[in-house]
Amino acid sequence: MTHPRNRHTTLALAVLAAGLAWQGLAMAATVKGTVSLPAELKIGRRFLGHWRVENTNVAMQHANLRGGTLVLLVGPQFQAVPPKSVSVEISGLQATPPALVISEGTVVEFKNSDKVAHDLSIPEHSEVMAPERLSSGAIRKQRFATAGEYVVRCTEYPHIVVSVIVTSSPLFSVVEDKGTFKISDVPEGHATLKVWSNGAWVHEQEVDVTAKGLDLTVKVQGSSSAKETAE
Amino acid sequence: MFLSKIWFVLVGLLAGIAVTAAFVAPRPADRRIEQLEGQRMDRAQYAAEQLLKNDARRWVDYVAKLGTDGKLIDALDAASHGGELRPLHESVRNRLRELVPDRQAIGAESIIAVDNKGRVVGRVGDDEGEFGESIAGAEVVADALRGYLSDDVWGANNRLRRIGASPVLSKSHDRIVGALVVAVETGKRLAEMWKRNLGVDVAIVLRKNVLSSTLPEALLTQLPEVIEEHAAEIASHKRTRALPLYMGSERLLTVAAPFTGEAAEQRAYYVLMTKKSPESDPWALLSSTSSDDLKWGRFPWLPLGGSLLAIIGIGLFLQRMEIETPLKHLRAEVHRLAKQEILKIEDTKYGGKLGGIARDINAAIEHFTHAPLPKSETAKKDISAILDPKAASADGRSFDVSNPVVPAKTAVPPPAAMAASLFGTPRSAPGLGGGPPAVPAAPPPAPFTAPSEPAPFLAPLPSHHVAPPPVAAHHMPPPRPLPPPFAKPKAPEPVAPLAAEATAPTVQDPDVAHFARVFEEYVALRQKCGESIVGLSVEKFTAKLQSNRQQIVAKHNCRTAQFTVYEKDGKAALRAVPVRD
Repeated sequence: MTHPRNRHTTLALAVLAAGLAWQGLAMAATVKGTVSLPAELKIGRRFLGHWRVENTNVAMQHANLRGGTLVLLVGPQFQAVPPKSVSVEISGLQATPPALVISEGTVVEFKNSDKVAHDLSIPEHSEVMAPERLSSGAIRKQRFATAGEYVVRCTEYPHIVVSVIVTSSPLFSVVEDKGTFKISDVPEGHATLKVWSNGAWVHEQEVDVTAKGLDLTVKVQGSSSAKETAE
Repeated sequence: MFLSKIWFVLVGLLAGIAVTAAFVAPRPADRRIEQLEGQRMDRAQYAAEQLLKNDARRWVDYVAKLGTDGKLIDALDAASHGGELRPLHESVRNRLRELVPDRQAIGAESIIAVDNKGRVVGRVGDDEGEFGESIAGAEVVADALRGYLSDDVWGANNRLRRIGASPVLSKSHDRIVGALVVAVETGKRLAEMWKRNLGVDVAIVLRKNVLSSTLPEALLTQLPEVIEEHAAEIASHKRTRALPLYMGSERLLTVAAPFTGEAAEQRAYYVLMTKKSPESDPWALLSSTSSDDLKWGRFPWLPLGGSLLAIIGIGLFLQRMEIETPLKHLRAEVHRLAKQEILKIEDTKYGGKLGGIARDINAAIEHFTHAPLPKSETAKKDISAILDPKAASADGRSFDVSNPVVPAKTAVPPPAAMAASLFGTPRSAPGLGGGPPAVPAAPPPAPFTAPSEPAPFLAPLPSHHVAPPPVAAHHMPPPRPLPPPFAKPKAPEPVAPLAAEATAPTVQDPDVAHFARVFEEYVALRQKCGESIVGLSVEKFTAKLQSNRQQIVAKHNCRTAQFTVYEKDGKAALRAVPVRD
């Protein structure tokens, strides 16, 4: 048998817990939307030759963006994500995943599953990752201790690019092939939305996250359009 | 000499202008040549780019055509549907060998057939035995599997290869069953072909290494550095302007441009080079002239030669008119002066320095004779210089009575002049061209001017030397009163006439003993020199010395004069030294 006083206490605690839970749910919103990339970023080629001609029989297929585009929210308070191991596999002359967001101190394993060797480095930050030949089947572990954006490149095959965004924020999302993204548990308030694609920040806009969340259509301008805007 | 100077200045200016023109004129020509060479390199680079583009299309079309082969389509279709790769690999490789028997001859390094997942089914050329690995990540391959015909340039493994890729469609043309990729040699073969077609040397550079060149690669060590220095220019303009490059002793003009595709990221460039024309400095131009350039029809020999002759002729004429002729006249006058045919040089006839020389001679004559010559029209200009004792004595040719003790060599007139004055034989002028100073050759100085009649003891001389300048005697200044100490023992009469002194020497003269001793020395020296002493007497000698002493004292305001005997040119001569104390 339970004492009536105890029952009242338990009931009060339950009501309080429910209230707090409701308040917490009300503070966390979801930011989602679609990223529309310009043609130059979604054709699937960074290095063009003289010719790129469509065949006259079969319809062209869209390039698989392969998760190379990220959306990141900067500004809101967040609880830091602890570092964890991440691996990148290079196979078929392509890296998977091509872009990753990791927290500071994370060690990334680069595995070469190709038959050819790859010379991986971060040319812009050679002090972080110096050139080193990664033979077929070999693994290179690289620790990223400082927040920032790093682009790991292969000297022999320049199209192999791994984007590494080092931040402790959990407020990011990998853009799907169709351009959709979703970031959950975003605190209400002002934030900056940034888009990373093809090894560089390509878009940035201010957003106000409300309790209802946001559904955005992010249109990234091409380099020619960006030039016009800047002028 | 004014015109001569002006002429020389003009000729000098003309020569300076000519030399300046000779050094400056080639510069615009050099710039023009460099500009034309740069334009030529521009055209060559444009042509090279077009060749690359055409070649890329040719290779893309080539593999597209290969991809229509039925056996290849079947094999790739089977591989795309999961068929066992090994037999398909053999089939594809053999079929490719059949289709491209001249692969090396056409410059294809390898041809690769992949299924619709990007796996290598078969290949010819490099690594023919390998298959199964995926190359789907390569952009050109991925593009082909999406349906695009495209090209690229790869720079892997220190080799540069142009890539062409094309999708392989099913026989029903409704799906993609795979792709064909061709890798084309991009090295020595390409460089040689471009050299033949473009007429310029070619180098191919990948990541600071010269992969191949039509020039010795060892001489192109600077080339990668030069290109790297212009990386920003290449990135913005897709080429460099014409750059100078030194290859040993030769200068090259180079234009570098990037390859397209991935190779651009790998700093792969093709470089067109041509030897630069040597700089046209005057010496280089002269050394490059040929005999044709100097032919009569091509070279203005007549105008040039005529001009040169005219310049030289005018210069010689002016020099003769302004220098040689007046100098000749002056010399003649000096000769006449030395011969006492004239009393002074007509200095007004001479301009410039010659006039100055003439006036100096006249001033020196006036100084020595102490008799005013006919006044020069230009005397006003030089009167101070003529009469200035310091200026007159600066050349050491006349007495310097300003110093108490005067060195004998500078304080007395030249011995010859002294002797000439004693014997009435003026020395002939040596001329103005050099040698002994001209002034002593002038008519004898006044203190020693011979009387109107030669002294009895004088040796006979040629008639034209015997007669003393009559004018000088006429212009002899009146005797000045002796200074008190010297005049004291004498009568109040200032100075007796020369003849009186010669005939009546007084015993009160303190220098009589000196004169007697000088006479003895003089006679002895004349005898020693083999000269005649007929007619010499101590009385006349003493009278003469007294007369000269008196004139020296009057002229230089000294107490007395001392005479010494010495030998000059094998003859006895006398030297007078003014004594102040």
